[in-house]
Amino acid sequence: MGNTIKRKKKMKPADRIKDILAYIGIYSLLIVISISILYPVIWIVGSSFNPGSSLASATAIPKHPTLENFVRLFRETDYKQWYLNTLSIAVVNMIVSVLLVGTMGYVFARLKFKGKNVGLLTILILQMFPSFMGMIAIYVFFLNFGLLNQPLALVLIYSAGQIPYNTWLIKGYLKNVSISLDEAAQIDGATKFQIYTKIILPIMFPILTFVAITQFMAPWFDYILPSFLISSTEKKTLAVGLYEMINTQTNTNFTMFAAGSVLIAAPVAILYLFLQKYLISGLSAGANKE
Amino acid sequence: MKKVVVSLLALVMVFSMTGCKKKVTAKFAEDLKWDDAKQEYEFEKSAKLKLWTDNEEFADRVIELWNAKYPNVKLTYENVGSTDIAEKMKLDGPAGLGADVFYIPHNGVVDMRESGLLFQLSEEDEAYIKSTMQDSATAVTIFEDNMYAIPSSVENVAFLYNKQILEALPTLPTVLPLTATNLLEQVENEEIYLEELLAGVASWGNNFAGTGATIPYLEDRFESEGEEQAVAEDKHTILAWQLYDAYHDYFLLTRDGYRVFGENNDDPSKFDIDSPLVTSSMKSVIGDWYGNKDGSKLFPGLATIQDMGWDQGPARFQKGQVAMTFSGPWVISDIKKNFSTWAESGKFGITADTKVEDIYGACKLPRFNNDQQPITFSGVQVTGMNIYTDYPNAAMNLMRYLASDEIMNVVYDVMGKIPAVKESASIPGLNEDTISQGFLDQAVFSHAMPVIQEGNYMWDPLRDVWTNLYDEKMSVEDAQAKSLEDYQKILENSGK
Amino acid sequence: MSKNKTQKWWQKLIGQKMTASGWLSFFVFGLGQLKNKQKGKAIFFFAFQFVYVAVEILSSSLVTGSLPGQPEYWGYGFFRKSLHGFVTLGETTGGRFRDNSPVMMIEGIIAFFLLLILFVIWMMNIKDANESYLSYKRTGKMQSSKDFYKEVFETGFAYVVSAPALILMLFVSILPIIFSFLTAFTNWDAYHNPPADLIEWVGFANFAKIIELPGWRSTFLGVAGWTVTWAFLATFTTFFGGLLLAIVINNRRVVCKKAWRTILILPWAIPSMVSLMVFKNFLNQTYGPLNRMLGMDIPWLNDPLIAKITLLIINFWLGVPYFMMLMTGMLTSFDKTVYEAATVDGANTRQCFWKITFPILLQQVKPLLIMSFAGNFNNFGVVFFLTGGGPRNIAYEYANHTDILITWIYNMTKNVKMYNMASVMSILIFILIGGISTWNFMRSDAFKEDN
Repeated sequence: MGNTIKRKKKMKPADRIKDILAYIGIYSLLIVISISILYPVIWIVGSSFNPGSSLASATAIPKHPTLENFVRLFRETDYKQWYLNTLSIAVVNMIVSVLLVGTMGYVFARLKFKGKNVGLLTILILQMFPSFMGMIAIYVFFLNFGLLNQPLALVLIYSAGQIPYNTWLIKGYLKNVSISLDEAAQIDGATKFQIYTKIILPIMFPILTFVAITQFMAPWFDYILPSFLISSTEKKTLAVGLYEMINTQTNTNFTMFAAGSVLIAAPVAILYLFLQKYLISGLSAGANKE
Repeated sequence: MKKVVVSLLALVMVFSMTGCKKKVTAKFAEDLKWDDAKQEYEFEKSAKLKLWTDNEEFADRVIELWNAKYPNVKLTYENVGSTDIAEKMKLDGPAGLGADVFYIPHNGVVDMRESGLLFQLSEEDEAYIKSTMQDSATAVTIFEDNMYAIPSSVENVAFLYNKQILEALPTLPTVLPLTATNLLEQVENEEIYLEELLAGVASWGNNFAGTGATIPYLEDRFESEGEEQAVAEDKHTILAWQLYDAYHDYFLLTRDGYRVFGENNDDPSKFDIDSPLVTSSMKSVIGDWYGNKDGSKLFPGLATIQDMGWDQGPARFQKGQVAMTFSGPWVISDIKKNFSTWAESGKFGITADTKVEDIYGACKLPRFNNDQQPITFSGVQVTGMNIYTDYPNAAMNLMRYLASDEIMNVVYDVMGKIPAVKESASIPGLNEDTISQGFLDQAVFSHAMPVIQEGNYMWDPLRDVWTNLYDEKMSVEDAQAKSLEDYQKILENSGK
Repeated sequence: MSKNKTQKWWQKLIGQKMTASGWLSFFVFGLGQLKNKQKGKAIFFFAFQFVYVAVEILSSSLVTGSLPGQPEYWGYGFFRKSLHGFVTLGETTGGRFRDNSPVMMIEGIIAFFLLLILFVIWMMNIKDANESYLSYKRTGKMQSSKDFYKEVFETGFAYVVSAPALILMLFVSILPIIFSFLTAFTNWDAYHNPPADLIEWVGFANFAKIIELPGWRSTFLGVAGWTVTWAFLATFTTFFGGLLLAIVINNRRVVCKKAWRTILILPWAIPSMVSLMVFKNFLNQTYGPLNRMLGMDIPWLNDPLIAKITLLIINFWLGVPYFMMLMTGMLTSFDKTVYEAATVDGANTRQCFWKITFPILLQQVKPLLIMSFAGNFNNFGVVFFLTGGGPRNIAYEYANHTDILITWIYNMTKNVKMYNMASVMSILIFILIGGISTWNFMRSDAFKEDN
C-alpha cells in the first residue's frame, strides 16, 4: 500500500519522527516474525546434519555436524532418480496447470454462458467430501486406462484436482481488472482467443505465477496416492521413496528422511526467488489498465 | 490431418481400455506340478517373478543367489513397505499386477487371508515347512488347519542393556543370593527379580546422577546436548522403553498367568483384561514406584506415558544415553549400521576391533518375584504368495527357496534378523552371537501375537490399561474395567 | 443457438425439429451430416461411435476368448460388463473366478461417465444434423466444415476450452467422491473383505444404524464442535497473518523485499510431515528441548486446551507463508488511481487500507477463504502427525481431545474397517461443511454477479 503513494515533497520534522517510528515498527515486526519462522527451520535443517538416525535430542546446531545422512541418501537409495522423477512431474504439472487454469479462469471470469458458476461451485463443494476411499477409485480409473506405474500420469490428478480452486482464484483476481479493454477489443473484431492471449494473459501473470508455484509444489509432498499408483522402484516419486525410510519397524532413518526433505525446499525456494518478480509485476501492469 | 489425429486417438483409447486389462484367476494347490527328479515344481515356460520387500540390500542378495541357481527365471524386486503390502495387494492382486511373493509381518496374514489374497499351501509343502521351521513360528501361518504363509524370521522383546554403563553401576538389593559385584554381573547371572530391578532403578530416580557412580564416556553420550547441565538434569537415563505401546508392555501383565485371548490366544471371548490375574500382576509390578504420574518414582516428572515413545526410549538407548531398555532386535540392527562410524571417531572408546557385543547386551527379561518368566509377544516375518500369480509353480519354488538354509543365512547375515529355523546350528554364527541368543532365550517365553481378527482390536485397550492407571490416575481395578469397556465397544461397533 | 425462450426441453437437445438427417444421425453418428454433404463433420461424429463400439467388441469374449469355466458375464464387453457389475456387485467368489465388488462398482461408474459423454455427443450430433439441414433449406447454402469449426470455436469458446478440464475433473475429482458416497449404501465392513467376500447394496440400513448407536452421537457433537472452531480459527489466523506480512513487506520502507519474502516462504517449502515430526519432538513435555530451554514444564501437547492452542500456532507457522504469497499476488491487481483519488481527498494510508483495499480484497478472496475453511475442516496432516488426536479423552469413542472429524473417521476405518459407516459419517460431515460453504458462497458477490 505504502509504495503506491509517492511523496516527493520534503517532510516536516513531525512527519520525520513518525517516519522513523514507522521504520522501527516495521523492522522490529519483520525481525521478530522472521526469527520465529526461521528458528524451527534451522532446527529442521540442523536435524538433517545430526549423527544417528533419530530426530530426538537433535539440536539446531549439532556439535558434530555430519554430511553422512546426505551421503547415504545418494549412495544407498535411488534418491537422484526419485528427485528427477518428481522434478519432471512438477514441471509438467506446472505447465499443464497453468494452461488449463489460465483458460478456465478467463472463461469463468469473463465469458457469459449457462450454468457456469453453478457447475464450478458444485465441483468445488463436492471436493470438500472427506474421503479415504477415493484413492481406490483413482486406482481403478488408472488401471482401466493403462496409466498405472506411469509417473507422468500423476499430473492428471494434481492438475485436475486443483482446477476449481485455482479457477476461483483467478476469477477473483480478474474481478479487479476493468472489463473495458476486452469490450474495446471485441468491438475491434478480435476473437475470444485473441483477447485471451493478447490482453488477459499478460494481466493474469502475477496470479498465474502463484498458481505455477503452488502446482510445482504438489508432487513433492504427496505420498499416499503415488505409493499406490507407482510400484517400480525407479519410477517412484521423492515423497514415496522418503516415506519408505521411516514407515516400517526396521526402517527408522529419521535423520536421513529429514535430509531428503530439506533438499526439497531448495528447488521451491529457488523457483520462488526467480518467479517473485512476476508475482509482483502487476504493480506496473496495473498502471496501464485504463 | 484431423482424420489422422482422430483415428490415432481412437486407437489409443481402444488399446488402453482392452490391452491393459487381463483376466485374472485365482490359483490353488491343484495347479502345482511336482518334478520328482529335480525335487522342485515344474517351472512354467517363460516364467518371471516379482518380489516385494522393504530391505533393498537383502533383496539384491536374494536376486543374485536366485539368478545363479535359476538363470532362466528372472526375479525382480520392488521396495514396498511391509505394512503397506496388505493394502496394496488388495488392489494390485486382483488386477494381476501384484508381486508373486512378498514379505509381511505375521499379523498381516490375518488381514490378507480374510481378504482371500494368500495362496493356500499344499499338504506336502505344509509338512515340509513344519519339519524345518519352529513350531511357534508356523503356528501363526495356520488357520483352520490350512497353511497360508511360510515363516522367515522371528522377533520378540527382550532385555537390552549397555554393558559399559551397567558395569559401572553398583548391585541392587535383592532377596536372591548375590555373588555379583556390579549390576552387569547381577543381570547376566540372573540374580535379580524384575520387581527388584524396577524398584532399584526407582531408588536412583532413574537417573545417572542418582546412582552416585561415574558413568564412562559421559561426554560422548550427550554430545549433542552440549551443556554439562543438561547431563545432570537428564531424565530417565537408567531405564526407558516405549511405554505407550501394548507390544512393549504386555509382559508386565503376565506374572500370574494372564494370556490375551486364552491359553492359545485364539478365543475372542477371552480378552479378560479385567481378570484378577492381571490385577495381581500389575500390582506386583508397580509396587510403590510406578503408581500414577504424580507419585511415580520410576519415572519422576514424566508428564504422560505418551511422552515416552521410540525417540525417548530405544533411540536414546542406541545413542548410549539410556542404560537399559525393553525392545526388539531392530534396535541392535540400527546400532550395527552406525558402529563403523563410531569406531572411526573413537566414540565410547570403540576401536576397529570392538564388536557390538562388547558394548551392548541382550538377555531374557528378569523373572518375576514368583519365579515366573515374563511372557512377551513374538512377531514372525513371513513370506506369502499371491493367489492371483500367473506362475504358481515358479512362485512356490521361490517360496521354498526363501525358506532354505541358503536364504536363512542371508536373513541373519544381511538383515540381522533371527531365522525361524528349528536348527539354529544350520545358520553359521548364530549360536555364537550372544545378542541373538539373548532374544532366542526370551523367545522360548513368547507367544505369537493373536492371528484372529479381534487381535486387531486388542492393541488400544491393552495399552490403555496403563494409560488409565498412569495418566488418568485410576486404580488398577478401574483401569482394567475401563479397558474392558473400550474393547467391548469396539467389538459392538464392528458388528459383532 | 436459437434465442427462442419458449423452446421445449427436447428442442434444446436435438434442435428445432427432427428431420431426415436427424433421424439418420440418430441411428448412426455422422450419417445425417454425410447426407448434408458435410464429410469432415460426419467423420468427426462417427469416430466417437466407432471407438465406443470397438471398445465394446474388442473387450468382449468375441476377441479375448474365454477361459474354461468362466462365468458368462466375464465375457461381456467393457460397458455391458461394467454396468452389469455395478448392479450386482459381483456374483462369484471363492473359486477360480472371483469378483472384486468395489472395483466393479467403480468400473460401473466409469462406464456410466463414458456413456454420459457419448450421450452428449449423440445429442450434439443429432442437433447439428437437424439444424444444418434446416439452415440449408432456409438459405440454400451449406456451411463448410471449416467455417463450422471456426464458428464453434468462437461462439462455443467457453465450452470448447473447458471441455478437457471438465472431463478430467469428472474422472479425477467426481469419480472418487461418487464411489465414497455409494459405499454408504453397502455392507462393506470388517466382516465383508473384498475380494474374498462380495459386498452388497443394503440401501439405507447404515443410516438407520447410526441413529441407534448413542455413543457415536456424543462423540460426534464434541468432535464437530472443535472441528468448526479449529477450521474457523486456523483460517482466520493464517489469512490475517499472511495479509499483514504481505502489506508490511510491500511497504516502501522495507529494503531487500525479495530476500524477506523468500525467507518467509521457507516453512511452506519444507514438507509439513517432516516439520510436524520435528515439532512433535521439540514440544515433548518431559523430554522436549523447548521446555528444557525455557526451564519450564508446559504441557504443549498434553493439556486439552494448550494442545489445541499449540495446534493453531503450528498451523499458523505452516500456513502463513502460503497466504503471504497469495496476498502479495492479490494486492498487485489493485488500481493505483483509486488511492491517488483518495489521497487527494485527504485520506491517510491507514484509512486508504481499511476503507478501500480491505473491503475489495475481502470480496476478492472470500471464495478462497471459504475453501480454506473447508480445507482446514479436513486438515488431516496437522492433527495426525502432531498430536495424533491426543491428549486422551476417555469420554469419546475412537477420538481424543484434538481429533477433528476427519481424523475420527480415519481412526474408525483403520481400527474396525467399517468402510460403510465411515462413509455414512462422511456424508453427514459433508452435508454440514458443504452446507456452510454453499450458503456462504451464495452470499458472496463473486457468485451473485454472474447469476
